[in-house]
Amino acid sequence: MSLSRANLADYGLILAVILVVAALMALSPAFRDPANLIGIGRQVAILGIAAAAMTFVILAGEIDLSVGAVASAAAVFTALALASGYGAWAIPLGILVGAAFGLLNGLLVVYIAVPSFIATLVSFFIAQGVALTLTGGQTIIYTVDWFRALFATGTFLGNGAAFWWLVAVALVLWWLLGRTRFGANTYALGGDAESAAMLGLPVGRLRIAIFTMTGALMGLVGMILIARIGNARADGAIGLEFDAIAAAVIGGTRLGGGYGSMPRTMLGVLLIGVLNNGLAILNVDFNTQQVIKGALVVGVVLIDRWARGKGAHP
Amino acid sequence: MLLELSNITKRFPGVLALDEARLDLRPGEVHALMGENGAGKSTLMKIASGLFPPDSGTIRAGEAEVAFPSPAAAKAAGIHTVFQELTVLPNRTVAENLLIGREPVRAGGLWLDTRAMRREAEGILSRLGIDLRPDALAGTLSTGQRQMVEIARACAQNPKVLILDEPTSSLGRAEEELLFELVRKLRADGVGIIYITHRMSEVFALSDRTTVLRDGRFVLTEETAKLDRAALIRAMVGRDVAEGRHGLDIDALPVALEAQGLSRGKAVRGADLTLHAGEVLGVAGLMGAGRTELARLIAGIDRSEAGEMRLFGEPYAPRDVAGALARGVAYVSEDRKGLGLVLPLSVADNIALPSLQSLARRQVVAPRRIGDFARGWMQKLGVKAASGGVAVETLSGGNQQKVALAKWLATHPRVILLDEPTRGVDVGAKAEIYALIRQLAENGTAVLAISSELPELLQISDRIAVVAQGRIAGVVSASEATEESLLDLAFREGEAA
Repeated sequence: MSLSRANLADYGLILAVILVVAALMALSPAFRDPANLIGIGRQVAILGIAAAAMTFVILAGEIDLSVGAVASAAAVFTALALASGYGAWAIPLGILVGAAFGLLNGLLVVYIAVPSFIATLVSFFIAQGVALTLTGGQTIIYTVDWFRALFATGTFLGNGAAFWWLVAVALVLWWLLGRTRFGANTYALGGDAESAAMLGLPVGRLRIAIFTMTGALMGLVGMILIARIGNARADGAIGLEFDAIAAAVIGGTRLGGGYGSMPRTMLGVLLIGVLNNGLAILNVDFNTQQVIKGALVVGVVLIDRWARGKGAHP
Repeated sequence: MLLELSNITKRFPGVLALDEARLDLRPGEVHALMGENGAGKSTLMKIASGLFPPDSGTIRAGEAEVAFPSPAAAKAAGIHTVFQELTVLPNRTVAENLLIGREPVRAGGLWLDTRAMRREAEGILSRLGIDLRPDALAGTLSTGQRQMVEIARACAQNPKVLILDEPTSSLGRAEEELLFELVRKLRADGVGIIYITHRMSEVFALSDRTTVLRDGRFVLTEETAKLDRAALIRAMVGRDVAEGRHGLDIDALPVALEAQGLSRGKAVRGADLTLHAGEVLGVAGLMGAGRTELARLIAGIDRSEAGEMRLFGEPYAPRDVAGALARGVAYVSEDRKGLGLVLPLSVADNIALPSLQSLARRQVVAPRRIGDFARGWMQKLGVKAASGGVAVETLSGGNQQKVALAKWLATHPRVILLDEPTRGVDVGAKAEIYALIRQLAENGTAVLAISSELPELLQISDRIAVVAQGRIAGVVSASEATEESLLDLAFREGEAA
């Protein structure tokens, strides 16, 4: 089969990942070091989980700008609980804090009919405010080794715990999207919200569930975050929302909702992760990396549009 | 009785959509529901489908009085609806669309059974004789094919009541035959079918009884066999024909706009039109006939794919609205709120908007100039507002419409296209707008007025063009036309095509 436009739309991303990996392997011995390759898995865990959740949200035709702030707030709560000796109770606490913010997002969107862009901006500010108030701007340090091992430092089959959390989350969300009514309804909602409502799908409950699930996953992200470094700051994951959206878009998720898939988002995550890692190894400075990431998003969108054979927006 | 809707009243902001409307449905009958545009047919069916509740009135299913707080509740009662607005999801496959909300599952609902889904979808499609692949993405299908998916979805759920809202509007001949066959089969199985259509031939070919609504009110329910075409049209129109102002010698007027073979997509398919300076040409037609789409081509909002236009003898092919305005062609949209006006802006700013260039000195417009300019036009049209500074959204419908008119008249158009100029306007303001339209024509402007209200067209127009299926089905002198003759034209073409 020749490389037609449609094929490029389907396989272009895989091709891009392979090309980038091959180029970096050829260019840098440090990159092809197995320890570094495993390191990439660790580095993309947080982005990957956020992007997986974001994919769900975007597929439903919504957006969540609060994920970074919510993960940070959940991290602060969890770290405080750990530092105060609450032990394992810190885990459900972190998840609940995340889920509560997600629920708030969902309630605002469904019952007050606020666009999710605004509703999640509200949560962003509240979560930031709560986290800053709790920390007083200080870094919360804790020392609970089993917690750090469970969420980050531990290894299993050669890979770090954080990577396995990502694998678990991505697999579960993939299954939810493709193999459950919840996922089918999510696609329907994003495809045409009005039709979904006319068809009698529970669109309100669905939106609330998606935002709440995303919040709970941000609780998990918060825990991985503090487990890696052993402390928590109020701004620990700020900016994650944009990286997560970027990964989903690079993966071909359409911002209008309805089109996209979990494996493709994971390819987007992989591409960003490999690029970040490789560019750092090649001593490209951080600011330049940001520019490259931006160019990548535009490039993917352009290629995608060309491959679909549609003209540019009017 | 399978389903009984009694004394249903529904008010939307500014309109009484249904006024004690009623309809009853027996098992095993096809019940045609007819009425002019805006008679309330779709609203009544949306209430029966649980999309919104009635303000008052009762719904009975069987013996029991019921309420449908949601579409799911209506479905649970066995009422399935094929809406005019298709609800086929473009991003899902045919199979997923057919089985949405009732997908086969395994492991106690944890797992979608995709194989069973495909099998069931294949079964539905072949049972109904629809030639579609279950794994085709619905977004890639034609409108007609999507319509068949919609119909198949409703039929596959063993409905007790099936509501079809203009199901043939986008179907081809073969698909139409398939649908009629399907409807007859369901009727034989005892399903009650409510069939909304604008096509007379379908009413007589398919239906057992017919109900006619007019202006949201019940007019009649009758055995279709006891009705004929004339009786139906009379029931739908109902009013005495209004007296118009006529007797203009059209041929003596200069030709302002000439269009030949205008086409765009499926909406406009080879429309020919002649508009004279100083006449009011009314444009009639059923919903979806292509009236607005035609006006949009002339106004430069959309570009025609075929055909040509001449404006006062010169070739005319506007690239955009600015291009049309520069040639003196203005369009007052039917969608006052969406396209016509910037609601939060002041009356003065709205009126001045298309004229800013002429008001500007070195690209800067002094607010005082806008105020003076707008005041003049407000007086001329009798806009009732505290001042030019109040936001347009605070005005009544009639005054908003006058502002929209003022805005475009201020550009001194030679040709003005009015799309539903009195929609949502009260009676008093209507009369003022009619007078204004007359005055425009008397001053030599070429006026094209689209309206769904036939009495209105008969009153304001010199000639009336009837649009059907994207073409001009006929042009008649308003003094000779009647509502019956206009509707007859609109329907006749609908069946021939």
